[in-house]
Amino acid sequence: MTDDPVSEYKADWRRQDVEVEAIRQRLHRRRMLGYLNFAAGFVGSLLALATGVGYAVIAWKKRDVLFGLSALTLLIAYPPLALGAFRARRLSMIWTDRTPEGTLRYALAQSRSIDKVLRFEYWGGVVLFCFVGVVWACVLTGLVSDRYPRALLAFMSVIWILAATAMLLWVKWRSRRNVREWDNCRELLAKFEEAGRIESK
Amino acid sequence: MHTFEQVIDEFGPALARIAASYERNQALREELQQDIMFCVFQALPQLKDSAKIRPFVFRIAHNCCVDHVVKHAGLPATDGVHAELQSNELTPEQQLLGNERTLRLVEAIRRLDLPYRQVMTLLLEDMSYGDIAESLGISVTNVGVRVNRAKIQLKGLLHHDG
Repeated sequence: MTDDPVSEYKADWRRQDVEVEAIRQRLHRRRMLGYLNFAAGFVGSLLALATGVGYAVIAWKKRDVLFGLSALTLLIAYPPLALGAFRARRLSMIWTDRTPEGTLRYALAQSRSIDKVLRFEYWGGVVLFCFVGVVWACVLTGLVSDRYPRALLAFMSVIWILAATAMLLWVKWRSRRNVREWDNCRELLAKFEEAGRIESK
Repeated sequence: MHTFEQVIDEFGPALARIAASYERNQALREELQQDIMFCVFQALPQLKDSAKIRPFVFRIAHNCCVDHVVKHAGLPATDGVHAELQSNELTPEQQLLGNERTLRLVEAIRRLDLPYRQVMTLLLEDMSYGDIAESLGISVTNVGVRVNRAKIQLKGLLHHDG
C-alpha cells in the first residue's frame, strides 16, 4: 500500500488558514452565554413553579376558580418542560464515551425524547385553549365573581389564545425538524454499518 | 495535565480544519468550531491519561460533528466537485483557503461518506491507525479498510470531470 497521495493531500490540507484567536474569543462569549442561558431557563422555570404554587394557595384561601385554573395550567405545563430542558443539557455534555455510531444512536433516542416533550407542548397549547373556554364558561355562568372586569378577561384571553397558537405552530415546526433529524440518523447509521463491514468492496 | 488554553493552542487549527470538512457554510462552520471547543472544554476534566489527549480531543470533535450533521441535514451530494469550482467565483472562504488544490481537496473531503471522511481527516492530521481506531471506537483493521475506501472515493471525487 502506498501513501503517496495521502502525503500530497496532507500538504494541501494543512494549507488551510485558521484564525485560532478569533475562535478563542467567540468561545469565551459562548461560554458566558451558555451559563446565562442555563441560569435564565432555570430561574424562569422556578418562577413559573413558584407562581403556580402561589396561585394554588390563593385559590384555596379565596375559593377562587380563576386562580385555581391558572395554578393548574402553570403546574401542569411548566415542570415537565423545565425537566426536559435540564435533561437535554445534562446529556448533551456527554461526548467522551461514545463512538460516532453511538452518537447517532443517542441522537435517535434523543429524537424520541423530543417527540415526547413535543407532545407535552402540544397538550400545553390545547390546555391553554381549553382554559380560555372554561374561563368564559365560568364567567357566563356566574362562577367567576364580578371583581374581574370583562374587558380585562377579554384582553387576557386574546393573549392566551395568541400564546397557544404560537406554541402549536412551534410544535408543528419542531416536529417536522425532528422527523428530518430522525431520517438523517437512520441514513447515516446505515452508512456506518456498511463501513463497519471488514471485507473490502 | 493539559489546560484548556493549551488544548486550543495545540489542537485549535486541527479542530477548525475538521469542522471545515463537515460544514461549507461559514457561519455554521464557526458555530460548529465553537461547539467542538465547548464540548472539549466540558469534557477535559474527564481525561485521565494526558498521553491520550489526541484521540480524546478528536473523538469529541467527530462526535460533535456527527451531531451537527444530524441537526443540519448536511448530507453531502454525490456529484463531483469540479462543476462547482468552475461555476462560482471565489468567495471570501475560498480566498481564505488559499489555493485551488486545497479548496478542491476540502470540497472533495466534504463529499466523502461520513465514515470515510472521519478516517481521512484524522489521517491528514497525522494520526496513526491505532489512534484513529481509538478516536472512532473501531478496530485497527477496520481503520485500514475505511482508509482504503476513503482513498478510492477521494480519488474519484478529485478526478471527476478532469
